[in-house]
Amino acid sequence: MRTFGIRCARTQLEWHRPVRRASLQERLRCRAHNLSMLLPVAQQYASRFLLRRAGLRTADRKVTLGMIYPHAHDPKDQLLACLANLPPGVNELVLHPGYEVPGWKSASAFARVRVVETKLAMDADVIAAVETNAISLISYREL
Amino acid sequence: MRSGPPSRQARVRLIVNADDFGMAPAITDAIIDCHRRGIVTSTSLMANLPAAEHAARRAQEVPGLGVGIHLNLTQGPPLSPPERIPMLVGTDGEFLPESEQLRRLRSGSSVASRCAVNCQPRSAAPSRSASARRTATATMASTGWPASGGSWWK
Repeated sequence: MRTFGIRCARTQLEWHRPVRRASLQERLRCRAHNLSMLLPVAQQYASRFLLRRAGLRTADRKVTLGMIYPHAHDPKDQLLACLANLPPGVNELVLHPGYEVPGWKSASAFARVRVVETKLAMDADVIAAVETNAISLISYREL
Repeated sequence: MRSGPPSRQARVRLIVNADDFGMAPAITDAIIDCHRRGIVTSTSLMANLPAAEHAARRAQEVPGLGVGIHLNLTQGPPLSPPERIPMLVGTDGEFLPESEQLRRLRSGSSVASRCAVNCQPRSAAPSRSASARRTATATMASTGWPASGGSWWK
């Protein structure tokens, strides 16, 4: 999260450390939950290693907005912060654009996210941020 | 395609990949617009879904858009004949949902497609999911594009 400049709100767990007063069972459950959050990251690293070993070209790192801002008040700020803090190398940003059409919500659980990300991908401030932060937009062909 | 000053250009590169190309016409159209008027540079085609043909036609309008394969083994009908991958499809001939595939995995009656794709991409013995994967790749080739990237998450 820090790498991409994503603001991470301090949670009660981090700030007040209530687990110290929790039962052993609750503490173990909290630890298990925290460890489970590492699994998607570990999966990403493992998948990239296997893909590269198989001779496929991949980005150095990947971020999916839908996963990091579902509770954010302003996803645009999150994306702008992300663009301003992209590390050197090849980054991949995964978006899920889509227009809303009648009956579409039943076809896709990402309906709300898709509409938001469509607007973000064409937002003038986002396009300007790419220029401002000297980001070179490429596709897989250019790897 | 936009680019920054040369000093930083070589250091920070960004692929903006739009997922689910071909899932539905509304999604395909949005991706095309996001490429033309926004920052999207690449997309991944779900070649086995009914809207894939619409996506293939629209992709011809934007040669600058990189199109890769969105490997999909959990949604819609398979491109392979269902009889060749009986463990991955239901009685309706469509891919079983992930939960059902995992249930079969737990009961020992199936090879979970996700595990096969994510954990054994170079398996010596061709798996059923590998068969479906090859078919998706062949379908991509038949559209006339070289596959330029892939999504390996579904």
